Amino acid sequence: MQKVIINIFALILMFGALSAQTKTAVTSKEANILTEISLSNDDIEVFKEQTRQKVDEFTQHIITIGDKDEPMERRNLAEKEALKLFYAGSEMEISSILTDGSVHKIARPMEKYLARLKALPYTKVKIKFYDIAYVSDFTKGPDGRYYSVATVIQEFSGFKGDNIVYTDVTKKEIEIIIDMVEDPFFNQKSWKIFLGDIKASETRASAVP
Amino acid sequence: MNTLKLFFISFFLQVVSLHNLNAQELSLHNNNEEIFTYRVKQISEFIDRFNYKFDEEFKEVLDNENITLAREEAIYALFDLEDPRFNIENIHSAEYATLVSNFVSHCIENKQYIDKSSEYIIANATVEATLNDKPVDFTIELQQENVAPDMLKWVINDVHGELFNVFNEDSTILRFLPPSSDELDFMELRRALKDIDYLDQYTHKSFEYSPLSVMLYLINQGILEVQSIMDVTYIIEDLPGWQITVKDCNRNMRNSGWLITDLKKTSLTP
Repeated sequence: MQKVIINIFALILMFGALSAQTKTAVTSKEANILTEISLSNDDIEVFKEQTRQKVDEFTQHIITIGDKDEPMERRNLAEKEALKLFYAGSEMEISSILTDGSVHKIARPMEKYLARLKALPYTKVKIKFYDIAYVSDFTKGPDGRYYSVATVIQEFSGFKGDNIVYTDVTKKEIEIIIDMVEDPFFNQKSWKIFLGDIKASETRASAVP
Repeated sequence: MNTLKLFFISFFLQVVSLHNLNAQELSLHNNNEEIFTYRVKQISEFIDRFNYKFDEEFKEVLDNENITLAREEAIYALFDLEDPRFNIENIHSAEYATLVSNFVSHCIENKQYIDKSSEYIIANATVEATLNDKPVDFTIELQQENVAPDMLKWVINDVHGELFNVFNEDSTILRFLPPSSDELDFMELRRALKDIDYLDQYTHKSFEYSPLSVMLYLINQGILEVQSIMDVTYIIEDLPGWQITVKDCNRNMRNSGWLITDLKKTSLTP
């Protein structure tokens, strides 16, 4: 991983106005710098492994945030820590299947999604993620960052008392971005993994009886 | 006929080994993880499996079940096996089955693989939008563009939908501005530009109406607002002579996820 850490103090000065950027639009200056720097295939493999860890971290936070048996302090901390994993401006798009078979989609900023998850109107919430996650290969974008998608499956159950009143299985497609960030303490720039937008879609039950 | 027979044998092998375990799987909730492993979860995984490349978890499940998946079977398993055309009782089955069989044989014999970064992978995104606050839907066609040898982006290629079919065709009436128009300070223009369904007929002969430009204009002016992307279908023409349609078959069985829902022979060569 040492190879990944790149000392380029001069570049730090050139990275400006980061806060004004979005994932679909970056300053040409920054894009030009990043396109010049490439990760080796070995580095990318390391990041792919780290992606699984990041996704695990996120899913653990989701479980804690939703769990009404956990102390509120711990749930708040999990919410805060979960947000740190994300690229600024990331959204969660949720699609649900209505009783008439049509699909309803709604997108919310990640902050709002996590806040809502904490306040769901159930007395008890059980969230479970499958152990497996599929992570696609990373592809370099025109901004020099690397992009991939991780797919995970979540089982959700909402209780009122001892009774399950709502349950669903959703597939979550999590955008993964490897971006170069500055460590102000060491005056270094290094590649870091962020989670981006998430598309959550309810998995449809089979017609087979 | 031999080809057809071979196909059905192969198909039934698929049914036994990969598909028809659904009933027991569905009764066992904890087998969902297994279904998830079989599911073609992303379009990139679809291409990997087509190219006979499996991720470690899928390999592990196959090993555990003592399944050796030949490339031929791996490609068959990428078809939507719930397609009624795979039902033997369906009168159209034989035709489609032969086509599928020929396609799979062609891919195996000619070592055909899909290039993940191909510009011949077209994504059709169905969009829900509002036009002057009234709901409309249309399709945005996107394709990958190579920015540099190792860099990609998706770009909007075209747009399709009733909303953009603004001009009518009419060969019974000749519409034009007469040669004398200039001397009248083009006073005919006012009348011509009220002929709203045929405006294009007053333009120069090489004019091409561009729905994409219209979409961009309408969005820019705040008249059209995209609300959400409802679904995406991929048209892959990266395999010479063939066009495959890939859709997300969202269901709780092994044969699910991004699967081939249609296959056509084409004259196109990438």
